[in-house]
Amino acid sequence: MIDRRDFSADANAPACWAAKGSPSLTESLRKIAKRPKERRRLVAGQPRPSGWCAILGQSFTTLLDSLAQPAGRRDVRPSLSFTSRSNKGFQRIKPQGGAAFSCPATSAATHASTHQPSGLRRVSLQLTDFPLPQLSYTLPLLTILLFLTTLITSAQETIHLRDGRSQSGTILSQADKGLAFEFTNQTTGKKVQMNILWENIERIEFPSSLLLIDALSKPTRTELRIYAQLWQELEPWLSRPDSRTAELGLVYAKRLATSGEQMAPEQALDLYHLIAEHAWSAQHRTTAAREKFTLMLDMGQQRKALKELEALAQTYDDPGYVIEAKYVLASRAFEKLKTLEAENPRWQLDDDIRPVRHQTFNEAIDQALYPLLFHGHLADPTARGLLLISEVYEYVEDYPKAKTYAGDVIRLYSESSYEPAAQEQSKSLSKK
Amino acid sequence: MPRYSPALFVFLLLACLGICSAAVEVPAPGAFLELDLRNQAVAAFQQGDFEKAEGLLLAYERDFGEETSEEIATFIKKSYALIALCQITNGRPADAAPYIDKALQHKELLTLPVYEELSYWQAVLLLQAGDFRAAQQAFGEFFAQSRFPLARRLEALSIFGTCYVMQGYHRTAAEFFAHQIPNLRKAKGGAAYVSRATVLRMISLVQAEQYDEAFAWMLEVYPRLEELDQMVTFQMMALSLASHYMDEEKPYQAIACMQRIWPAERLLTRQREKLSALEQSYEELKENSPLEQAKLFQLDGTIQRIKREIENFESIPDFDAALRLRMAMAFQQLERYREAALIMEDMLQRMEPSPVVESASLAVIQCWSQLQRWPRAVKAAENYLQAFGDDATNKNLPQVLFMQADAMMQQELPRDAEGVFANIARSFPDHPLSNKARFMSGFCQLQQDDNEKAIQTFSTVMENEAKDSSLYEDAFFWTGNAYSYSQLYAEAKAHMADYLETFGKGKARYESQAAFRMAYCTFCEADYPASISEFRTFLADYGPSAPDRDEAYLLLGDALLGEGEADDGIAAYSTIRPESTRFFEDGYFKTGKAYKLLEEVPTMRQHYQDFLEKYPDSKRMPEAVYWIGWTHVHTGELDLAKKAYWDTIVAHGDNPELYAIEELLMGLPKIYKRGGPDAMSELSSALFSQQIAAEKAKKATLHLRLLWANAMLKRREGKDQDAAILLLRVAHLVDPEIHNPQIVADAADALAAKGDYKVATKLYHELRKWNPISFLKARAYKGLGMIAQQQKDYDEAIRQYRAFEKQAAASTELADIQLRRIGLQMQQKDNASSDVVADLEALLENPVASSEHKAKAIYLIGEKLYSDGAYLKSTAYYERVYVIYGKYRDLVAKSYYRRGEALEQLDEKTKAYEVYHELAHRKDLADYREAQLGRRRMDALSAFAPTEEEDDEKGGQP
Repeated sequence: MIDRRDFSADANAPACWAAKGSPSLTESLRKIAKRPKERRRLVAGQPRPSGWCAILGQSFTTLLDSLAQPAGRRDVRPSLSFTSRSNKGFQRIKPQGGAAFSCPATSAATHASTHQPSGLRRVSLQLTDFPLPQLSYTLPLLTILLFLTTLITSAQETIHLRDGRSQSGTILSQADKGLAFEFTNQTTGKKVQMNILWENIERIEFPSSLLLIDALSKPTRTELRIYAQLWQELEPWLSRPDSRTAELGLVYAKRLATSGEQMAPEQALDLYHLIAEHAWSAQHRTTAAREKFTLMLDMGQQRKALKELEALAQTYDDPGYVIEAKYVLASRAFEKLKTLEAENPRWQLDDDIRPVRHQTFNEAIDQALYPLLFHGHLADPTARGLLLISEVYEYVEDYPKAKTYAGDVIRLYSESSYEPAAQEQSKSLSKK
Repeated sequence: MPRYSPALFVFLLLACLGICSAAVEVPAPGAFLELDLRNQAVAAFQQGDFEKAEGLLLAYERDFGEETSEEIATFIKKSYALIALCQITNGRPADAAPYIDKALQHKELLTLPVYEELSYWQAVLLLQAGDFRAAQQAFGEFFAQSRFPLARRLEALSIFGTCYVMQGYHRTAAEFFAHQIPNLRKAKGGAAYVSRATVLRMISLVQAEQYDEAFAWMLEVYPRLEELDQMVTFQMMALSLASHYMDEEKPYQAIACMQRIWPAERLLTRQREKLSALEQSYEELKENSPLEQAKLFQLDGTIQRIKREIENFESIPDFDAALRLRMAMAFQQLERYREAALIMEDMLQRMEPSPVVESASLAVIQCWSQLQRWPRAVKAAENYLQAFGDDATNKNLPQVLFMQADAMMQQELPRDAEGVFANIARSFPDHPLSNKARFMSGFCQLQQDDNEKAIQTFSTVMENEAKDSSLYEDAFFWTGNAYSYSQLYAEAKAHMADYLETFGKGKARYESQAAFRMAYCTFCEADYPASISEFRTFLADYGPSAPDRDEAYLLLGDALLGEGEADDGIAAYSTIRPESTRFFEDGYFKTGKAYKLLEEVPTMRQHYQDFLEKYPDSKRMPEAVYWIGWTHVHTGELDLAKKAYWDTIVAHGDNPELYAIEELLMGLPKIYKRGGPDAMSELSSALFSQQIAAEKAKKATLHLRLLWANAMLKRREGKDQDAAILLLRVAHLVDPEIHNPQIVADAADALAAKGDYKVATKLYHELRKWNPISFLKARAYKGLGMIAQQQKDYDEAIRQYRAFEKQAAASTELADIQLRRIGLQMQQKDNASSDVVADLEALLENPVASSEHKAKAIYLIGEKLYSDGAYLKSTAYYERVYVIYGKYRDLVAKSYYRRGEALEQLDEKTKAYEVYHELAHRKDLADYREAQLGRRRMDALSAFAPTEEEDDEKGGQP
């Protein structure tokens, strides 16, 4: 019996087939197969699937032609384009009146047409649309279809609306207010274009090609030109939710920075800047800000980096970059302090080293204090800074102060993700 | 129930009034006016002409209110509702109150929507009239009506809670809102009221002095702050809470509150945007649904509240500055001065000068001073002066300047500090700090050894100070010290005597120091008898607690010995306490010297042996051993002398901390030399056998020391190769962390000479790392520089040579290293020429530089000028070399030749020829390559040879 695991490539496979107690596919198909009249009626006018069917060739097309769609069943006469998000038993839902969609050809309330979803879903829909001839043919055919389909990467995006509906298709362009979207009307088989406002979109499901997956998981083995190509494709979606653009961008920038190629670090800086400004996810923006600042320091652009930092610190709008940059400075100063003292174990006696040591120590503390003093409502960055200060004081064996700062995290930022580490630190310090 | 549209409203109203064209009866001729009036009123209402409708209805009531007709009476009863609604719509809700009451008395005649509307307005009017209790009841009753729309009921609930606040029942209000907010969240459309309830709860908690609950509420709400309409009010409550915690000295809570308050600009921007959006909604609603009076009322209420909020907030001066300052003060309460200073410094950078900012600027200086971060304190003072220094009436200026100068003093910048102190005294003569500043400037002058100036300054201080002030006494006393430092001993003594008389014994704060200083001056004048008496008096008067006690005993002993009273002198020395270290050891060794002079050799020997036993860690231990050896040599016991050395070396030689052992080892040759011609080989054998013994006994440090001493001996004997071999062994055994840097340096040099640069570099680095104050650090820099130069890493070599120059300013090798460095820089043509020439000129002024170094320096200046194209100038330098430094022939030859080339560049071919001629004919330079080159050039320039006439004129000189 075929179960949901066979549809592993399509996470959106209808839940009914995996649901406990729901009839098996075999059973469903048997019922469908028992309606020969309906089958015949459906053959005529059945639109030929395109795309992946063309890949599979004529034999498949012939097979499909032989399948009949039973008429009169509500669940095989889908309404305009959209499936229910709840998707129980693959219901089709007629669009509600007053939907925000603008559909140039038809009115949403009255139109009913076939629907061709992407990828494997298309296959599964086909299967419910069209009752298969005999079970004996079904299994091997299904296996072939499924196997072949999984090879094909879906190139379509799926838009999920706030009202629960979703549709797969192709995004043609985007603008400030919304995007232009194209999909194939199931009934007429014609391509439909519509504009969808951003405010109505909950999220967009972008396809993840194997190329992208590889690029993200195996950065050292992926060539830079592949990254460049992927970036070009995904870059327009940088500021949209659920896009993997920022993630790609960060990996790409890292590769550029360490590639050793001429001008590659400068390109990496540009990338980081773009992501820090426009990425949808705050976490990505923060990471990009931190990496950018670190790269500037590594490239010897300390003065420029600090100047930029000072200018940004004057505004309160998005302190993320400044916080990250100051943390980088604090961490670096701490590392420098450790190196300095390791190289100069009797620094207290050295008139040249002593002031440098003091300056480095103070730099580490002052920079790490930044979020506490100016953005103390941000729990995680502040707690992180306080914990670093505690570590610095512990290193210089000022245990009372180290305990104070670890205690600050526990007392003021117990909700932060650094609280457990602060507890550990506090426990360890209590023995000193 | 759907919200009614105006058309529906009118329909319902008319329906409840039964006014439909089909239901109207044809009036009797006498009732026509009444009916006419009635119809006109109704028609006006239907058409939306509420002004007209109101007038007609009121006229109807006036004219027909006394009629007994049931129909008319009924209409009148029903018309009350119409009148009320007209008045509300016409913007006169207060007039509607009595009509609302009347209409509600006949609620059976009203439809539900009308009843709802009138009930709501009844409650609103009570609220507006300030009858909060009655209003609360009315709103409560409204809420209880389950038939009324939920949105309206929620509004009523919200206002019900507000009435608690208006009546001052804050605790109840807080509880009420706490209970209702979750319900409001869940209710459909309730989210709009959550915002108001949230703010009201906060207000109530603060007003009810439930501060901890308010604190918890603030923390809970903060993540959703932007959902609030009246964000400013909420934040102001947070600020109020912070103030409370500051007063209660709970700075952590205060800080947590203040951290969650937005900057003023951000708050105002956000609220203005909010206001704009609400006003737009209001206008749209008014245009599209003018009868949605309740909604309009609600919106208008929110708008007015936000407007008032903005207005009040804008009137607060320096909000951000005040907030940041409070935050800084909270950290100061925690004694976290760094945090306080950083907050205030940031504030000062962002904000325009204001009294608050000025106060913070002052506090910043104080915080940095408290933390002893003197450079920051100085900078903070500079920033203050830049922002506020131009205001001559600023009363804080002297204090700021004083703190700045104090920080400079702490940074050991007495010259800078003196200038600032003097400025205070000069610019603010009447300020209380003025004379104190003057005194401090005098103190700084003392630190710079400008004693004469200090005396004058202290004198001025005394002139401007009351005689009974402590500052006067300070100035008086330090004037005496200044005389002493200037070696004006008579003046110093007289002044100190005057001091004691002026301030009185038993009262003067510096009594003992003054008495000591007087005795000291007497001693310095070599008046030993008087000084003996004075020291004895001093010691008797001030006893063991006097700070200068030990020095006094030392000087007393010196004076007594100077008068030949050896026993008394020795007794004085023996009273010096060991913890005074320097004075004690001085006294001890002077005692030994006394025994020597008294020829009490055994006593002397025992004296030093006791020292060895008790104080083996002393740096003067080798000196003690030397004297022990001397006593044996004096008695002809050379072997015992040697034994004394060896016993100490063996007993203490394995202690790496006793660097004095190396001194002892270096002292051995002097002892052995007395033994005759084979002495050195005897010493060498002794070293070797001790070395083997130490190795067997696993005394690693002793073994190492003996190896090194042997190497030094070999070197002394001219056996450099043997020395090198021994030092290479030393190199593999030495631990730079613990062993004498002298040994490390010698080992590293040996490795470098052998070409083992890697290990040598490592040793040099370790030498520098573990000996930051040793003069041998310079050897490390020199060694590293030379290795780098060998490896053609010229930048590194230059860097190391520079470090050497900085470290060893008084070294005899300085000039040599400087020349090396400059030579490398000249090879690296990107170095600034001004630096190189300036360095070379400075070398010429260096008293330690030899003439050869100077000759080289002059030659290099010439080379630099030549390479820069300054040929004429270069000729002067080249000439200077061969004229003045003739004994350095290689340089002379080069200088001749280069001068010739320079003259050729200047197209002075004849002069060039003459120079080459002179070079070629110098017999002492004949073997130098430049001489041959000069001959060739001379031949090439033969056409420019001077004629005999020219030659005669010059007297044969080029």
